[in-house]
Amino acid sequence: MNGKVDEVIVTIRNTVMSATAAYFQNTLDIAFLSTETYAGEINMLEPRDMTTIIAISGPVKALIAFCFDETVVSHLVEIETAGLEIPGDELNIYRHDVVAEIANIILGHSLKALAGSGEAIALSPPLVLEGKGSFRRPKGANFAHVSYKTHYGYMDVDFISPVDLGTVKSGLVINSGVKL
Amino acid sequence: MIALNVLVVDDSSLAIKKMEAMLLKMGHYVRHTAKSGAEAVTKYRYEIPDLVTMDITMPDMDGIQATAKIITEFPDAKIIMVTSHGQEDMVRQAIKAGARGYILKPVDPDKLAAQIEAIIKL
Repeated sequence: MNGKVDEVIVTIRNTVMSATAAYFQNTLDIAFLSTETYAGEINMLEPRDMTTIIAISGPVKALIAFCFDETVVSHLVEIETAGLEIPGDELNIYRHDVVAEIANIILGHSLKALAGSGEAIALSPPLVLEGKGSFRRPKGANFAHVSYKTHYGYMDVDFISPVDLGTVKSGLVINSGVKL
Repeated sequence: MIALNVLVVDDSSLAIKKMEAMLLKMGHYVRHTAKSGAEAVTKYRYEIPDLVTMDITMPDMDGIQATAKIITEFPDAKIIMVTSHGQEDMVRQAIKAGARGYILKPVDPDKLAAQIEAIIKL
């Protein structure tokens, strides 16, 4: 893959990559066996089994999607709910909360570097999608992508800029298998 | 330390559960929780807790707006912001709204205990 690389999206991607590596490797104790990155012109991204999307707005505008294999989600749920009493019928709520909270923490920790000394960058509440689908590139938007291989499966982080969360809700997610 | 009645506010059930477990371990108790800023304001009026742990990013009404609303009605309210935001501007806004302190996610139990102790002594 090749194409024109947008500098803003690469800066966002690199900042978020540092925070992702720090959180996964230091806090969750999950090693990345390999990492692949791409930035440029692509028209479609394909999320994995579970995706959480957060919009950042302010001086930098972008959508950032964390896409997980189910096997990775299961391991994350195991770590994050260790020692907590979770009723079986509430487990799905907690699965959503686990991926949402991880994305929230990683992006929250990235904002300081992204904002610099300028105005604050705001985060939207996370939107969790279940099921495989696809993101089609909105007109004029740039994509960047990182794929991580772990012992538990794959996780991707996708960056789409400049767009807002309304774009996702209004039809960016086009595969009928995806539940909002 | 005396046992405090704490209102835990977060839109994540997981974050609430984790915070509740930490507070119980410290000897405090959680009678009520809220999943939005608006619900936090309502629960505060009803409960008048000793302390609030307040998330920032929530639907409906965010934690900074909810803090400002609670402080307007209850100037002595003790609110700790619990956030993943490392931005100084966001922290400044929270303190300006009346929060007594803040703690970063993922929450470290020792740091939380230290924050609570400092705020209760104020």
